[in-house]
Amino acid sequence: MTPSIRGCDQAMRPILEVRDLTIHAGSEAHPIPLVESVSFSVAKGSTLALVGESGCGKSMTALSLMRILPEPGVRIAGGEIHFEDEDLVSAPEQRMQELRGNIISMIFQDPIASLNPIQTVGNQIIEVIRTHNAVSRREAKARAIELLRSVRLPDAERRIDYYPHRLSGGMCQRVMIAMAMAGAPKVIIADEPTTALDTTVQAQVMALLRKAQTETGTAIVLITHNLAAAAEAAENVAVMYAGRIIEQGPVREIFLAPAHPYTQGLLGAIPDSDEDSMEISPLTEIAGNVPRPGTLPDGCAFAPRCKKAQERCRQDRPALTSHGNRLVACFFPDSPAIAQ
Amino acid sequence: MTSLLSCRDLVVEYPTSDGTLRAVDRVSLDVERGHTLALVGESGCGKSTLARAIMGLAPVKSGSIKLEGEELVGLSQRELRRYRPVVQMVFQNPYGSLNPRLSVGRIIEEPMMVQNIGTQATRRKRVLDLLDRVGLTSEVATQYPHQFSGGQRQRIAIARALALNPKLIVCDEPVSALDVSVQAQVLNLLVELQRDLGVSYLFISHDLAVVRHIAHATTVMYLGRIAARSTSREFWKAPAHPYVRALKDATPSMAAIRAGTPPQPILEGEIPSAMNPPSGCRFSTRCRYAIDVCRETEPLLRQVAEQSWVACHRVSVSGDGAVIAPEAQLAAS
Repeated sequence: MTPSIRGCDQAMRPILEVRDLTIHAGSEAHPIPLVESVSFSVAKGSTLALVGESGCGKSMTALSLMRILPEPGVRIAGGEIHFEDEDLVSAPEQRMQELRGNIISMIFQDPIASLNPIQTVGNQIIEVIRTHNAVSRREAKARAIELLRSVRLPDAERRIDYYPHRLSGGMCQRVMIAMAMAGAPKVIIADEPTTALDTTVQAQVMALLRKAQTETGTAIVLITHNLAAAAEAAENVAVMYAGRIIEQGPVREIFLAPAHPYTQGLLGAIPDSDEDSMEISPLTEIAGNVPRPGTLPDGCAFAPRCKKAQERCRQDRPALTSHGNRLVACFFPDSPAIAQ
Repeated sequence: MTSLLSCRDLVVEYPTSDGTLRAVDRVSLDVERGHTLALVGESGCGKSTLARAIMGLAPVKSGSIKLEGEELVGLSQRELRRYRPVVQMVFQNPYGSLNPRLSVGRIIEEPMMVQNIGTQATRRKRVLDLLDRVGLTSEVATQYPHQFSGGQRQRIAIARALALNPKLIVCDEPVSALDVSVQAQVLNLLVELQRDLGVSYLFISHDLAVVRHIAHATTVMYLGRIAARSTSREFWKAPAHPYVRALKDATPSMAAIRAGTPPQPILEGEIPSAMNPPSGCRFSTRCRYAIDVCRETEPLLRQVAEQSWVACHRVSVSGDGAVIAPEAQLAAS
């Protein structure tokens, strides 16, 4: 069991709680772990950011929440996903179909690829509405227009009959959000929802998600590689590296004073200062590359790239342990950070 | 001394079935020797088309592109080949820009083969030097692109771009596809190469954090036109042009989070179609400070400070030379 975080979300029972989630690829005999013992929870109306670099397991974690891991071979090998009072890991497929896209919905990175190119956007939203509600086509269309208006798609009455190729990336993402909101979801999983969009449109889409959250109290799991975006959107953050959470807790606390050397390295690698000298100072690098699944070293997965690594780090794997408000998986966490 | 690269009133047009699309409209810019000029803007602003025009890959309708004082516009592809060694390019996608069927050594050697430089032995020697230069080992030469991560591939692409000792490298979103930790490695490498070799970069990016870090001068484009430009590294501290300000505010920033800066108003709307740009100022349809003159007359790029130019009717300069952004004027009145 992973210890729980003291202090946060105590008053509110989490709507989604993931415990010791483990995801494997490869054969049963020679499994390749993609995600190991990941635990987190999200309360109603709050946002948790899962951050990390490519291959850290954040997207696999997101897909597993909807039970849409890529077939064949990638599977939930252990752990529990509690949604309200149900365990989604053991829920029958039929129940998942009722929840999926309705009570738990997902927004993907590439909005243009996620929409069906040979269906009008209206028909796609109407399909979602009618799959989960016994309403007439007419009522569903009225509801679809209402949804498109709520995501501020300009000229919604006309654009509902457009095919996706006639809309910009930002407009397609608005349609995706409208579709995700169609069933008044209790949880939205947003996997890099703004990565493919222009800067000013990114800000619009994040504002839209926040608005939807304030109005409906939906919980959001935000998957992102952009730490600054996570800090702006979420209350809590889980930083993942090589399939595990290595630091977890309140987002401001962690980003203002990271305790894990990897979190420190990630934050140091972001070019972020106002510079006025013509001499360009070097950014902090994390040496080496992200390890590929199945090639993890013994001990701490970050040890080969870690400046602070010692003998113990190369032999034993540090467990996620509680330090004040946060959890850190490191034998030598930055002490001023966790002493706060 | 003249600039390494000077574009003047450059116009690039593409014929389409719906008429002519003017992707770059009367754009002028200069890249100085040993410096980095960042070209910033959102999709459809014309920044990549401009880069392609400089590489001789886009149809220039009018205007001039001078490389070390020599006019490139109007030259045939054959004549352009003479200038190829001087200007090289690094692309965004390190998975698409390296031929998967060639070894890394051959990929880096190829520009020298095309230009008939050296013997095979001297070229091979140069390949090993270049690999060392970009932080890769000599074994890499016999391996193939699929064996490398995105960051390593981008190092290979940089080695290839350096093979002919270019004076200018056009970098089109070179770190956008990379992870944060790897992005820092590649940016540091680019800065180090510039310091050691004196190479200039025309650095195209939508990522303000990256641009602020690496650029000596910045040009911001909107819908084919220049909205603002600056030769100062302090450009992003207090941008006066409303669009540049909106870009800055829309970018999540750790610095803003540390400082506890409250969220800024969000720029609404999307970039209009370049087929049918708005009259007057092209940004006027989305600008909260737009007044009648903005919708009627196109603002020209004018100098407002020693190192700063803006194309905006609403930016003014006070008696003591301070640049006053539209929001500051509103706050004062």
